[in-house]
Amino acid sequence: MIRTVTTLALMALFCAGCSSAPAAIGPGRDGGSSSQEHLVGKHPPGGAARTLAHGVTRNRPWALIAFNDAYGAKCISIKYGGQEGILACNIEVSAPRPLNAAMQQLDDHLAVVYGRASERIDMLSAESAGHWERRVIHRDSLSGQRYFAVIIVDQSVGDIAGVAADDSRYSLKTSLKDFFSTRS
Amino acid sequence: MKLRSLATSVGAMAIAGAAVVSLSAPASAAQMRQDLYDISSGPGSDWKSTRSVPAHHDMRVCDATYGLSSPASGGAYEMSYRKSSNHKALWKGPWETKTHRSECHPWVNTGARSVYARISVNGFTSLDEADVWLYYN
Repeated sequence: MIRTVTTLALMALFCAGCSSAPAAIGPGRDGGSSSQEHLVGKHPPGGAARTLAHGVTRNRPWALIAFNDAYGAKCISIKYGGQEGILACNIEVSAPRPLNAAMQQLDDHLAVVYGRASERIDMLSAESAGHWERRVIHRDSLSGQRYFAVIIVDQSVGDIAGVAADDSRYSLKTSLKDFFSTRS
Repeated sequence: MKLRSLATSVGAMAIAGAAVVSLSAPASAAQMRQDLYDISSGPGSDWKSTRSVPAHHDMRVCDATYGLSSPASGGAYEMSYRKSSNHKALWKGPWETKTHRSECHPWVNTGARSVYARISVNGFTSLDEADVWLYYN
């Protein structure tokens, strides 16, 4: 991947009309503030989040939660150390890309990969030091979608892969490698 | 002004597209637009902001709006936030094929004093626009 980034110009550019985001309207891209706030990921009043998985790693509890936001978006996030992490909503999956995940560094040692698996993924595994270990895919009863979370200690997981019924395999290795890289 | 036009007007450089990344730290959404940074490179590249914003434990990455206008078939892009000090990733979103997306993220204190935004693109022939809004309360 090309890394050269060329700064063109520092301009006060106002981009009125170049956005077509239909589902989320925040402050206007013309620099003004929209009176309509529609921010994906907002918890609905009184809405209950579902805990799909939980555990304790390095003496810190974590949980994979799912919820439908105030506007119906299907979201997941990780609760860790009493805080809700950065959520991921309406995660796309497709036939050529049946796995899709967000990644978050939770602290100096722990990271988490949390995402969605399509229906064609039968099995999910994570590789650490050359050993593959099966991981659970959790179905959210309300949304019907299948989610997973893999906690990673000190970058010890090198790959996460899903295998379909026809033995085709989809790996998140490249994405993991990119996440843990420190290239500028 | 469309960013495509910007790329054309600035076009002293051979570029396939242009991205605009805005990092601002206003007190409210109404004040959020401060500086804009135009960043460009060739296809299949990363676009990243040229300036970072200070990060606090209560920071929110709010209404992050970014997009592409010329996705190639099967392409996808990813949005990430990284520490300014050592470029380590704090968060990376799932790949996306939608041309625009706006979200509001609660921030998590991961020890970063400042962060910057990066968009990684795979499979696109050009990246014509990408606005990233960061602000904290």
